[in-house]
Amino acid sequence: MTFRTCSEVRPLLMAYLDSELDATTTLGMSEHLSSCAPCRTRMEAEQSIENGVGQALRAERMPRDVGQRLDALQDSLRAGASRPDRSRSLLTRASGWAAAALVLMALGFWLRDAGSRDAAPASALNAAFASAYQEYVALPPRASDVAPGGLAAVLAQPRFAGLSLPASGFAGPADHQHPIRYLGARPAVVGAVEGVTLAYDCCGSVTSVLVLPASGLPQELVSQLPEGATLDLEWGGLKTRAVHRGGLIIGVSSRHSVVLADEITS
Amino acid sequence: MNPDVTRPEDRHAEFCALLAPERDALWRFARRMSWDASSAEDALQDAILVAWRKFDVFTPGTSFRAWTFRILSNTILNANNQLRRNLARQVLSENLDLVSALEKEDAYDKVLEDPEALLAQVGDEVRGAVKSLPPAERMVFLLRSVEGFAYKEISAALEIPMGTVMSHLFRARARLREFLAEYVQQTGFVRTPTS
Repeated sequence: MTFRTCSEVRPLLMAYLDSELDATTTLGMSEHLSSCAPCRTRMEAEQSIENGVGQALRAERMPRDVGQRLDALQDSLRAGASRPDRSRSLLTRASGWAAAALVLMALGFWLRDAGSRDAAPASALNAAFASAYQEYVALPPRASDVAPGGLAAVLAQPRFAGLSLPASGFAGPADHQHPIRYLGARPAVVGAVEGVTLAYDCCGSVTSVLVLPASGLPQELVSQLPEGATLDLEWGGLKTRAVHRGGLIIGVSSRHSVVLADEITS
Repeated sequence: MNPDVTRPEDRHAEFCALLAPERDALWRFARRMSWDASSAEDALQDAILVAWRKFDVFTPGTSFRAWTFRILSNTILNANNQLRRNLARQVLSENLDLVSALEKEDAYDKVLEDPEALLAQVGDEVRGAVKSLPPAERMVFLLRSVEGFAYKEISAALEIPMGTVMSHLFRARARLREFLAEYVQQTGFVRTPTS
């Protein structure tokens, strides 16, 4: 193959650098590049960009604590455990739709008095969350639950008065990496407490966020948590770091919501 | 698995020895494709468990790296049907230069003048630009440009046609170069003269 013009060569430069062109095209490219300084310069610059970006990302190493847990997992494999016990695998052992659908979840609620600077006792809050979670995951999903008016309609309900939640997305975990887009909402009932699940598109999947009014949780504990404070929560076997941010306590654990994704986006 | 290795402890040692040099790369990939560190760790641990269970059928002499990345990709995709659909969606492969918008061409020319210096100045923002790529494009880009997989290996790992691999990769690269061009436009990046 003979390339007569630079405009024929330029679109193929990256594939050429990737060594992904067939032999004939590669030969034609090599011939053009050997006689065309501008294209050669362009190729070298593109390679520098590619190398630079790649190196910047390859510099990331596994955090020590993650490595230690991985070591423990590998040790347990040697011991012959068919299913090693892992703190982060608990959700996969949950039953029913919750295991498939509710995989990334945040619990939020209003704080009526966030003025105090003392941290709330995590263990008592954990118990409240754990109880709420156990009831919540037992609920079956219903496509008809999707709120027709979207987030604005949901938040207009009196029981959500004062809830400060941005319609374009919510503040995820401190280290979250991806753009977040609001998709929809549906009512949720946790025990006697009415709440709402909100769905956000993140990482190409749907994230469920369960929001409960603080009236369903111990006020004496909630009111002790200052803005920005963090606490370790555990509910339904899930461990997470929660943070008080903008009037919400948000705790995020992992997993994606397959069922909700189908319900809301289809 | 090596048929000569029959004792369970040897089998385990072989698995761990093969896995050791790949752990950081697997972590990076899981982390860039996950919501947070916790979900990345979940995916990685799940993938390692699957790899261990299937180690009997791993073919000696083939790439353990490609094999484990394939398992990790599947783990991520199995938990994420929407990403699987987006990944498989056929998009037209543009026969265009990476940055062709007229208003950005001048800025991109500046990028190409001294890309190393620019990248050194941009620093962590490049990582942010990669994070902001659409997930399907990000996944393919990470496998090719960061971990160095061939198109064919990516196609096999993600179970998508080669043409789809190429189009996702093209788009990812184009977006990153647009990001660099915009950076130059906004900051007025000036080459530092070399002595």
